[in-house]
This record gives sequence, C-alpha cells and structure tokens, in this order.
Amino acid sequence: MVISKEKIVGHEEVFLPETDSTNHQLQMLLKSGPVKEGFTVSTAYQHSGRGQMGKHWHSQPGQNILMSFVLYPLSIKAEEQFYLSIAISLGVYDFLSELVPGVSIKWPNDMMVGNEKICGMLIQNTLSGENISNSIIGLGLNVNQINFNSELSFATSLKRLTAKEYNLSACQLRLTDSIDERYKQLKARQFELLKADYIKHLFEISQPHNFLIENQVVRGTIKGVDEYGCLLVEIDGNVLKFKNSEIGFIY
Amino acid sequence: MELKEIRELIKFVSQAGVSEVGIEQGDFKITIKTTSDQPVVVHSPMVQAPSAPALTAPATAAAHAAPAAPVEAVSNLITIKSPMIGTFYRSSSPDKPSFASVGDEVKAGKVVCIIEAMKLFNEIESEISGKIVKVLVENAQPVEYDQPLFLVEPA
Repeated sequence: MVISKEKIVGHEEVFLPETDSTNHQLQMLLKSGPVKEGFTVSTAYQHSGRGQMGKHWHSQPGQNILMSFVLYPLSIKAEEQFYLSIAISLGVYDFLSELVPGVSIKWPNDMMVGNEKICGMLIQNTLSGENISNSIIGLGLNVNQINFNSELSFATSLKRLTAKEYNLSACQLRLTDSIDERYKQLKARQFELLKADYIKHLFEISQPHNFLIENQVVRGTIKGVDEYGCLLVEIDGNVLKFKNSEIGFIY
Repeated sequence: MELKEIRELIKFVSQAGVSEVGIEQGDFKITIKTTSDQPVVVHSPMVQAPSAPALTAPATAAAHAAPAAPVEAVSNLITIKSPMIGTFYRSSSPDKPSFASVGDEVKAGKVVCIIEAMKLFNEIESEISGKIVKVLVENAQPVEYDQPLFLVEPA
C-alpha cells in the first residue's frame, strides 16, 4: 500500500492479526533481506509485546495502535541518537495534541496526557562503528481501550479522554504522517528546532517537582535537556545533569 | 614467518625458560630475549598488526620499549570500543544468554552487546571476525565514548 511517493514512515505496511512483537518481526525481516525505509509492521495483538529491557507492554486485542517501523538515519551519528528519540516523540506529540489537550513528553520518551501515560516507545538501533545502520521504532498507543489493569493504573487512552471510538487505521495514517514530518526535520539536521520543541513540551517543565536522586527525595525544577538527552534539573540554584538511570520522578 | 608463528615462538620462549632465541629464515631474522624472569612481551598499542618489514628488526628493540607486562602477546588483539556513552549490557534481557562470551567466535556483523542510553537500545555489531579473548566491562556498568569493551583475536 503506497500512500505517497514522498512519505517515508509508514509508506508501506503489513498488518499481522497477531504476533509476538512487532519490533521482533521487523528485526527478523531485516535479517532475511533488504527492507525499505519506513516499512511498517502493525498488529491487533502482540503476545510478547516488549517495553524497556524485558518489561512487557499490555494491550487488549484490536483496541490500540501497535506498530513498528524501520528507519535508516544515516545522517546522524550514534552519539547524536537522542535527536531520533526527540523527533519520534514530537511526531507522536503533534498527532495527539490535535485530538486532546494536555499532552506532554515525559523525559525521556513517554507520552502523557495530564498525569497519565498514553503511549510508550521502544527504539532499538543497530550500530556498526559510529553509524546507525538501522533503527526500529516500536510504538504502543492506547486508542480505544477503556480498562487497564492495576499495574497500569496511570494509563489512559484516546477513548477514555474523549468518550469517542476511533478508527485505528485512520489514526495510524495520521500518526505516521506526523512522525514523517519530524523525521524529515531530523534528516535535515534541524537539531536546534527539534530540541527547542521537545523542551517546550516536556512534562513538568519549569514546575517544581520531587525527584528521587541517589535514594533521596530532592526538590528540583526541570530546565531542559542537553544534546545527549541528559535531563537538566535546577536544584538549590544549581543546574545539574542526569542520565535516566540517575533520577526518578516521584508522584 | 607469520604473526601466528611468532606468537607461538614467544609462548615457547617464555615457557622454556631460556634467555634468548634467535631464528633466521632467508632474509628474515628475529631475536626474542627474556629479561630476568619476565619473558619479553611484544606489545603494540596499534590496532593493526605491524607490517612485515618491521619484524625483520631484532625483537630486542621491542624488549626495551615494552614495560614489564602480563605474560601475553597482545600485539595482534583488536579492541571493540564503545561508539557512545551509555550502559553496557551483555544480553537483551536479564533472562537471556550473553551475546558474546570469552572463547566465542564472532563474525563481522554479529551483535556483541547492547548499549543503552536514555532508553534507546543499541545493538553493537562487531566490525571484525575473530575470537573473544576478554570481556572488559561488567554487565550493566556505565561506559564512556571510545571505552574498550572486548578484546578480539582476529581470525
């Protein structure tokens, strides 16, 4: 299914009624031969949906967008990869913010509406030397699911927020359009623009918040991120940098 | 004489307990000396193996340059380095086996580890083929840009 000559993300798509994980399917496909940039695998249900480092992603069958696509971000180096995360996050942000108010990006790459998570992503790159030879972007976006188990008590969906039922394939088309626009900015190395937009839409930006740092509760204010994606937090008048393993949000 | 043979020779000299061995083959000449109890270590900081002409010089020059170092010829080992700052993982998840362990043969393009940074997961491919001789970083430890991760004996 070719939608537009110009479009990269999602220009071709295969739908699997059920699979283990869309990221894994794409990884296997890449091993078996060349795959066009932007090729997308989506599914109604993944029984081994993957989140970060062994965590599972739960989603009720046929209710949500579960998709992965492959990118070849040859214009950016391994060291610059946080801009990839920024571009994808902004693409999802742009899509969501047309439908609901209160969307933000919780550092580094969770999508929030208010205090609830609506979309998660898993980016898996393959590096050869200092180049990113391929990047698999997996997205799980809650659309029509109404009930979430207690483990995901902070989860929400478009339907929960708006009381409307959504057409999944229409949503997916608009989502990939939004991501595609941001990916083009990335390819053009518009790093400053991407970073400024990302910082503008960060969850709790400029709001005093409690963080967990070295097992201590610390009050601080998010100021932004640096070029590697480290979070900049002002604590007692000093701006400090944190990696994702070094700081936690406290609710 | 091939590098492999030279390596065997150094091993032989260090195990035999002799102080000096000289070999001439046509216009190729090599001398391996041991200083006191320490066998000579041929140590090159370069990634590439030294070119053949350099080896025609007596190995004594190398003997003076080399510090008293571990008993292993490391001249031909290649280092796989980290292309980025992040956290080093030896497997894709805690319940999965390691991508590469000591003694494993790896081919160019084989994934040897994952480096995670800011929730981006990077599978690092080996650019060379050979045998893993040493894993230099513990699982789940932070790594810096260019930090050595693995020592590989090229095939």
